[in-house]
Amino acid sequence: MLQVTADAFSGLPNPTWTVDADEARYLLQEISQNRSVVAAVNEGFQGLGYRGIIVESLTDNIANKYDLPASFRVGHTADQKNLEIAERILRNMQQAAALENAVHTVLNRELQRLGSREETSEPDRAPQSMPQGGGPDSDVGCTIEIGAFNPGFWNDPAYIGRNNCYNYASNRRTNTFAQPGRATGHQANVMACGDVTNGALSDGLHRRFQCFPDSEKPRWLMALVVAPGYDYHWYRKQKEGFWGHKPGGTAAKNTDNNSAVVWNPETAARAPYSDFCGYFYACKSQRIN
Amino acid sequence: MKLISAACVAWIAIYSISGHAQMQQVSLQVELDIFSGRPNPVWELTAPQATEFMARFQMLQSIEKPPSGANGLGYRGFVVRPAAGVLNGFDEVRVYRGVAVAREGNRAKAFTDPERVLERQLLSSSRDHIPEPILQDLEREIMR
Repeated sequence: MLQVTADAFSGLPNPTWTVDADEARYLLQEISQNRSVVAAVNEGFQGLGYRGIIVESLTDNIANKYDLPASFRVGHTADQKNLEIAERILRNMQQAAALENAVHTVLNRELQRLGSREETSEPDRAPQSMPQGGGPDSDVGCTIEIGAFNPGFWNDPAYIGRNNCYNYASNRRTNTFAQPGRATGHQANVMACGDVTNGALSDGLHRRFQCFPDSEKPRWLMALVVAPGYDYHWYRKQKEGFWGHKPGGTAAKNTDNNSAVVWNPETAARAPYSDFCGYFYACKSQRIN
Repeated sequence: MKLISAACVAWIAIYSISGHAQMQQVSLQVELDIFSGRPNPVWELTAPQATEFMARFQMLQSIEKPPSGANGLGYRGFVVRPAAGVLNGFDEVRVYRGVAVAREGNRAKAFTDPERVLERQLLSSSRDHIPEPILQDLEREIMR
């Protein structure tokens, strides 16, 4: 038997439901055939609102049979299969009266928002400053776009080895293993913050809070780190709140070297990329090769 | 241990002298899977290095289920591919932390290398192909 819990509330207990044997078999089979949807219970978005569905085995044999952990999280990323599984679970909960209709509607809307391939615009605010002797300044900042985490687009075997961190963070699958500055004749050859930054600025990126107009949508928020003398690495802010990245020709992911979700690239486990160089905006007219 | 190492070296020498057709023809390319932004360093093994790699690879014991490999930032292993000839029927062999995973299409077979002999050999072959600071870090990682 299986227990599923919609992890969505903050004050009230989360809605939970015991799945019958037939449905459990179906769900576990679907999940075991699509293992990329499985995450640890403590992985993913931890803020207010919909956070996914916790699945727990109530018997000691069922998880082993499908080679799945005894408890795990699904339905927390924009991956299409993940959303399908989550929609099915929520629908079944609503039909079994384990989930109120109104709550079901709200959670479904959250799933749609997660799955929407459309980027959304949001403000990227600079910290308020307190000038001496006066009241606080109003926030300054820029409008940026953020998109849903979609690793499948990057991890397709036809593309995974041909696109790197710069491709991913710029959200441009050029299949050229792009290098900052190469498209504009200023490729960075020294692996230091200043040089790689200059290459990226040459391609058309702006430093954070140097705003692009709406005509330059989408304006992705990127972060640059450097392993001095070695290499560089980029991250991109995702709609779910975490940062996605792609270490070279390996898989795009949202976790760091300690398998923790990257909520902050400044503090993520990223050895040997010790130097944090700053944040940047991509833009429509960015050149990249 | 010294007796075993001597036996290995002797076996490799005999294998080389015997002129095994498969190993004589193979030419191996090595990729150090380490970077995120820059392309990984790639070089070709010399003929004696390729012969030694093949001999050592064929001495490894197979294992049922390999541990999941590295896919984060930093060192992720060496990937050996045939530049010419065949690599025991495999498209590539990835060597990382004492495990060699050989792939042919979707098929994968794993081997254990507890002394990290293959990695040490590939590290040794990399000396003229990667910058000194990276070499030193790799030595600390692999030779520990």
